[in-house]
Amino acid sequence: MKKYLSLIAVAVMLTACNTNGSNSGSTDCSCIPEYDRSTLSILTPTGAPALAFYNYAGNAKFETNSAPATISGQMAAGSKDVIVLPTNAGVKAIVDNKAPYQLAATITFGNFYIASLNNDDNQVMDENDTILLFQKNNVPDKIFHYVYGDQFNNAIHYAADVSAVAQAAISGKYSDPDTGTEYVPNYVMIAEPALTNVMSKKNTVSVYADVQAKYKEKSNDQALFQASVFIKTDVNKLTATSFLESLNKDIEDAIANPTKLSAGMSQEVSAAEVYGVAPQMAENVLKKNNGMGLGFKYARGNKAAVETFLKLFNIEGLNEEIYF
Amino acid sequence: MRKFISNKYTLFSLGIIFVIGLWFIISAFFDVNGAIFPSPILTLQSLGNILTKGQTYSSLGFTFLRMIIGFTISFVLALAFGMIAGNWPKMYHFFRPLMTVLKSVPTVAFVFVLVVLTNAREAPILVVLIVCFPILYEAVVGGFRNVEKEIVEASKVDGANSVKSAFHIKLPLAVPYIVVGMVSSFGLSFKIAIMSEALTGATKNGIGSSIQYAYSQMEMADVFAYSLLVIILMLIVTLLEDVVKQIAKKKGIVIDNNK
Repeated sequence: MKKYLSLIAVAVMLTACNTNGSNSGSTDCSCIPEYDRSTLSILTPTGAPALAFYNYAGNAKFETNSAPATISGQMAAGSKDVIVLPTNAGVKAIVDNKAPYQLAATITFGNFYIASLNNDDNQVMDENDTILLFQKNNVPDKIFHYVYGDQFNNAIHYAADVSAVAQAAISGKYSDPDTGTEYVPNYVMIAEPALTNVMSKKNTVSVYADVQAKYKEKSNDQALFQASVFIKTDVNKLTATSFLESLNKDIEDAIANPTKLSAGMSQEVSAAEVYGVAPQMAENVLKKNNGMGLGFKYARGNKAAVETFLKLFNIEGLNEEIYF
Repeated sequence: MRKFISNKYTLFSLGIIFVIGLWFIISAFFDVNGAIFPSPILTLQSLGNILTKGQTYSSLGFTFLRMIIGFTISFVLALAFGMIAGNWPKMYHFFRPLMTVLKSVPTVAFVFVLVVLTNAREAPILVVLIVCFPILYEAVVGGFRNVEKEIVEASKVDGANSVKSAFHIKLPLAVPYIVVGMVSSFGLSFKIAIMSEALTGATKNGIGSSIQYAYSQMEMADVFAYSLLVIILMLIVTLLEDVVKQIAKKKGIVIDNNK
């Protein structure tokens, strides 16, 4: 009798919780409990992805890190319940290192821009210019080549990271660490909030192109699924779902009202260091047409866009189980 | 006049003026808008600014705390291993491969391994421990090995076994060597803690994290200011090291940690 009763109870619960796949795979369920922000341990890189967690300021279970390699290592070790990483890096950790996580949702949809130093005579980026990119063979480089192809290959030089690009944009020169040769860049690929920071320090720098928009044009209106939330496989599904719903709402709130973002971040004494962006700067960039590219889309409901992005890194034929 | 110029304090002061002058010249040639190599003036302004922030002191405090924890554990382990190796020469040869590995592996490799095994906040403690351990170990072993044989033989005649001799005769006599080893590695441990904090990418409570953040914001003057703050602290430690070495010299102890 007890066995039948429990079967009926499970059936009732399953009927009550209907999965809504229409809006990007989210779970619209009245039985999802409200998420307690101190439940899951979270690790995210500083910068744009960290801003999604503005309501977690001062939370002992929320941690940020400025070295993506460290986060990948923690993911392989399975040390946190929730990890945020560039989508390609997270999926690679799951596929190659058997990291015990699933791809749940994307929260950053690109914050890359081509900035002009306004020292180019014809004001058009071409193969005769000097273009400075960063992180060779990594996300910015792959996206640039996806958008522009190989036409500028002879004009491209690489800096190690976005800070080095910003430094070059401010100083107006870049010294190649391998050859020691000094270049005067005409255009740089840069990410927010570094772009706003550079523009506040050097007023001759201006936005030449929005890389996200170009990516969309090239990929039949697909968004750039840049940084995603990965959830550990042993996390209770209901808890994970309530966390994702809560995160979705936090992001929507911040986009609608950027002052909420800075107010939330300011609860942390070392907000600028923890988030990698000062609260006021984050608010200003978000106000600039969501310059950080914040958003929320479930991965399962947007497989085509996820796979288009992953294809840039030669990651194809993903197993269905990789999706939350 | 000649005496004044050859005075070590005068030379030290001239050395400082030389360094600042060199700094001014490099800055004048290479810096653009304070983004590459800020001048001493810009750096001092920034130093004044960061010294007014409470966060600087808490960062400094946390870095010190990590360093002290790592250093203390390292010292305790080095004392134990060093006493064993110093008292029983065969054990010295047994521990030698381990010490060679610890001394030879690049610190950065330790950082990357430890950050995965532990986490970004604890890894610097372990890095300090691993880097300082062989140095302190050698200091303890060196101290034990420099105890005159006659004293050890005399203690044996008086009925002391090797354990008693280690604790009651060799250890007290090795103290000056151990202290010099401690002072030398203390300064190093501070630098290692800061470097590890920056490399692990930990974003909170640490001078290394503050330097990393300042760099990410292209605030090179802040990077220089934090470095200047560390240099001042290191200078104090160096002066302390000199005092200890002078005391050791007065007591007729020749310091050679590689012995």
